[in-house]
Amino acid sequence: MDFSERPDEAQFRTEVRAWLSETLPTLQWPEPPELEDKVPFWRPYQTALFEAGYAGLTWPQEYGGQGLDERMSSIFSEESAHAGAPERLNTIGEDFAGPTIAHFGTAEQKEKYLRRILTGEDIWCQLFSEPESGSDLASLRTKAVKVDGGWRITGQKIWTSRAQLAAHAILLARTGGGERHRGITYFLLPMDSEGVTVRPLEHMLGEAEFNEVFLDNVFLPDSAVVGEVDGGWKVTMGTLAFERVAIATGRVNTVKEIRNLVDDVRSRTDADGNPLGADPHVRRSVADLWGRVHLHQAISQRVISGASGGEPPGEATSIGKLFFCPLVEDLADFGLSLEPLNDQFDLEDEVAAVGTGGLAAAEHEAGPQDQGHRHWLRLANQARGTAIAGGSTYIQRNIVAERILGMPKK
Amino acid sequence: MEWKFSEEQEAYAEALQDWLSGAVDSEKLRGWFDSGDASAFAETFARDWAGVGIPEEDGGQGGGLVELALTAEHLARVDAPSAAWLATTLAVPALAGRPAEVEEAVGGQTVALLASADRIPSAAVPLQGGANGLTGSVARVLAGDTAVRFVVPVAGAHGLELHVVDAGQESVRVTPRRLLDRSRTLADVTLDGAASQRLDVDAVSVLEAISRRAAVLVAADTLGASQTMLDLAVDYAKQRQQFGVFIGSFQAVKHAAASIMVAVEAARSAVYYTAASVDSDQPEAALHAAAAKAQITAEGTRSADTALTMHGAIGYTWEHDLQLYYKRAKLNEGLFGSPGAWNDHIADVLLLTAGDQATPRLLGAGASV
Ligand SMILES: Cc1cc2nc3c(=O)[nH]c(=O)nc-3n(C[C@H](O)[C@H](O)[C@H](O)COP(=O)(O)OP(=O)(O)OC[C@H]3O[C@@H](n4cnc5c(N)ncnc54)[C@H](O)[C@@H]3O)c2cc1C
Repeated sequence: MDFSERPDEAQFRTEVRAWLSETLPTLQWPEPPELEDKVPFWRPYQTALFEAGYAGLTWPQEYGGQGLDERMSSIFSEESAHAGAPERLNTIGEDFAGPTIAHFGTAEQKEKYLRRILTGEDIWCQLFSEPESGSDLASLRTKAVKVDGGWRITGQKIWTSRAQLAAHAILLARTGGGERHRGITYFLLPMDSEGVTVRPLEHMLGEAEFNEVFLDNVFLPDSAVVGEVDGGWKVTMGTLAFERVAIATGRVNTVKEIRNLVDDVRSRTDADGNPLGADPHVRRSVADLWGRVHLHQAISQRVISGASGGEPPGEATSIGKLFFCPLVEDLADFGLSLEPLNDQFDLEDEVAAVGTGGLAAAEHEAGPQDQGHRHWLRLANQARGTAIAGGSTYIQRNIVAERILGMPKK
Repeated sequence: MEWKFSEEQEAYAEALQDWLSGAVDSEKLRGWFDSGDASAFAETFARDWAGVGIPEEDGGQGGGLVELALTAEHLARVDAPSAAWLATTLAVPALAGRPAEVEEAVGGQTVALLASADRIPSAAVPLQGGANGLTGSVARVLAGDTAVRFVVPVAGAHGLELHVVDAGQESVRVTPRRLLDRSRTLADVTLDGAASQRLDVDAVSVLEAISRRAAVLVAADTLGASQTMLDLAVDYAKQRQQFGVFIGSFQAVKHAAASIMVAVEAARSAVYYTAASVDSDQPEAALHAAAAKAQITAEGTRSADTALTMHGAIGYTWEHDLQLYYKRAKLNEGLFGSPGAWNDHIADVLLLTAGDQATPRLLGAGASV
């Protein structure tokens, strides 16, 4: 247990901080709220990260990464959150597709895809879930039929986040060598392939962040297979483990969120003009959330320390998602509770739009410290989605009970 | 921050666990608890282990709060009687510069802070000093029944002082109290003109340090008790059959176990993170300690109830060992300050602006958010 930073770590932190404070103000703030508008805002930043040597910190150097350990990467994340860096749009590329390709892919695949993830050129999406296959992923039906030099793929995928922006996808399809998980192959699919149709789906707040994707006799060459034919399940488990690490260590920086909440409470008074921070209910909630954020931070550090030691993701990772999702929900809900009617106003409502998430745009120049338009409402919604995606809460509990505690399956 | 035990810490935990598995079992525990006398355990434990976590220059074996938290966790895992060890460990920082007394304390002569165990130590109500010695009563003093010395907060003419009082004096009256949790003991203590010596320490900062240690060590105790309750509940679910199958195959039971596991691993992550934060004086160490105590001990009581539910009626009996850990976790929730009291401190630091009130003492002015 050691809070001290090695000299190279301390120096890295200083450099990162300086770079962020120089670079962030050059972006075209405010950060747009809608996904498609975020792309032109985010891409120059990702390119700048790459050019400065801050993209792919833990990836191998030969593919554009920096070959550093998880501790350095966590220093970078902390500083980024602190400085208010833009949302990372390509988490699927950076956090799961990239590491999966780096781990299981061929030399050609690594050469072809990895660097472009880091430069911001290629956004990736994940074509796993299907209308009839959610939690029970191994039941998926999308079919790959062997043809000369490759495969023809037909089927429907659903809930594909960011498919409308993606250049490439990680794709699971049934190649038929065996039942259920024994007959699945893992492919890399260019989204502009002939026969791919993307149809946006709106989430609860009415924004299209995920999609249906139809695959109609799409051709993929043999070189698009990751791992063995019919051996895709092993690769999939690798992807899901990378995903869990990413979620457990903080897709949302809870330290930053609680700081926002505290600042918000401190700056407000109640209807009678008394400081909101004197209200017993508010005090109790803030203290409790701060405490839970502290526990989450400890869990994250434990996951990161485990990962740096090259150990496989263990107990702390599996519980990370179960601890993290309700915490983010409660942080966001508390933020909403400070607004009239818990801010249950339409996203298009103009008065509410000014009221949430920091100061009105007119009052100051937009910059990295802005929380963004309807921050708590969006975060509250997003947290519910995160609890379902990547293995729902109940599925995570099954995993903890059966795989870690060894409780009987049947 | 690196979350990892050193090799020495791993070896220490393993050796301690080995030793405890030989020294404590259900039958012995029940014998000590029925007779109300756990001194046999306390003495052998102190002889072999009590120096760990106390600096070598003060007569201990070295190590810090991480080692102490390991001790607390492992004691609780077997429900070992620990009031004497905990009270002494908390009080020892007040004896800085008095090597003879530290040596005796490490050797098993219990020292206890004369403060109610239901309060955060820094909120202890000081006794009034005077020319005729110390006078006053303090209810519910941890290990008050076995202490040979007390460290006593005293309201002096120029502010808070700490004194040391010999418990063997005529003027010291000790009335043991009985707890549901028999692994810890308390007593009401009355001083009636007791002779004392003033300790040459900064009383306020020593009490703050004691508070942070108390928070971490009680949280570590709940971690140990919760781990054992999880083990008991999971083992039981793997052997008890109903409807022709193991109850552990029912999803409701699995999810109950998973929820305890989340609490246990979150607690483990935070106990050791916080211990290291306090030991290395991180800017937010006091807030970390408060958060760990409030969160972990509150969640520990929920885990206790979940473990009880998983056991059915057998878990509700005197005969089954679950009740021992159940009571241990329930006591820990209020021991040295309820979650509400610790959360109050967090709220004070985070939400009061400079003009509102004096900066809360426990957490100090250094805490930044
Ligand atoms: C915001 C969001 C983004 C997503 N992005 C992607 C993406 O990019 N790519 C992708 O491939 N997928 C994505 N998904 C899909 C996600 O992986 C699935 O939604 C998830 O696996 C659950 O599947 P389902 O929705 O079909 O629910 P179901 O599997 O039908 O589950 C419905 C309910 O039944 C419960 N249930 C099911 N089986 C069990 C069981 N064995 N034990 C106990 N309870 C059970 C579930 O917990 C849930 O509560 C996304 C989902 C969301 C919400």
